[in-house]
Amino acid sequence: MDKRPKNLNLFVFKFPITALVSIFHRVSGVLLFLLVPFILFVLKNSLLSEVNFIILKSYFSLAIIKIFFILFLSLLIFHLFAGVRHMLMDYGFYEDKIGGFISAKFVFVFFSLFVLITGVFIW
Amino acid sequence: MVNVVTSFGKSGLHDWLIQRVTAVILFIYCILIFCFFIFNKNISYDILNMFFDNIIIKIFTLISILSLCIHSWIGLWTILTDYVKYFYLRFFMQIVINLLLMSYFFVGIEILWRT
Repeated sequence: MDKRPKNLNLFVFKFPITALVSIFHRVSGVLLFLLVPFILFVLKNSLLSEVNFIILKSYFSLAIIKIFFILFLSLLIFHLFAGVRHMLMDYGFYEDKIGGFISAKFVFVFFSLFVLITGVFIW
Repeated sequence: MVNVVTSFGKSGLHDWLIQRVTAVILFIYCILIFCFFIFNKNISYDILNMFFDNIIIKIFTLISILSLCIHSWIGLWTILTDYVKYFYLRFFMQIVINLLLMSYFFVGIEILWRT
């Protein structure tokens, strides 16, 4: 019998940046799936009539909705950049360990940059 | 082999390809929508309505919603088969997810086909 202690506490593990990109890609995907009704609701009300559009627009001037919307967009932006990296790797780019680390860093850099720009734009 | 029956395509390779094709469609659609909002900062009802009234945009939007549903189907299948080991629970969750995705698609059609 294997008597070595097992440590499966996820809060104790140290994850490499490549693992973080991978897991956030999955988490953002699931959350985006769950947020589709929100987007459909916005699309429906923005196209239904001018009155609905104006009411919707007034919702979007609320800080809480703005923050929520920026969070939603950051999920989308992360998923897009992680997806681009994933497909580049499918085509054989950055497949080695160093390339994987560098591209993972680029995902986080581009993500932060674009979230910042989006945040300023929405606000 | 039992895992394969709840997948979207015929095989893992088939799913793999569909996942990437739908990803590219969604990527292009996102760029389009981002550009639209960047160039129309003070969006009005008329501009938005005109945009989605365009038949090309309308069809592209519907294709994107369909792609989104297929992309999610495959993506969530991948995640479920990784983390939910109990078959009946996974099967149940997959059905709930797929019903939701199909509802998303029909709601999308209903919204865009109204006008």
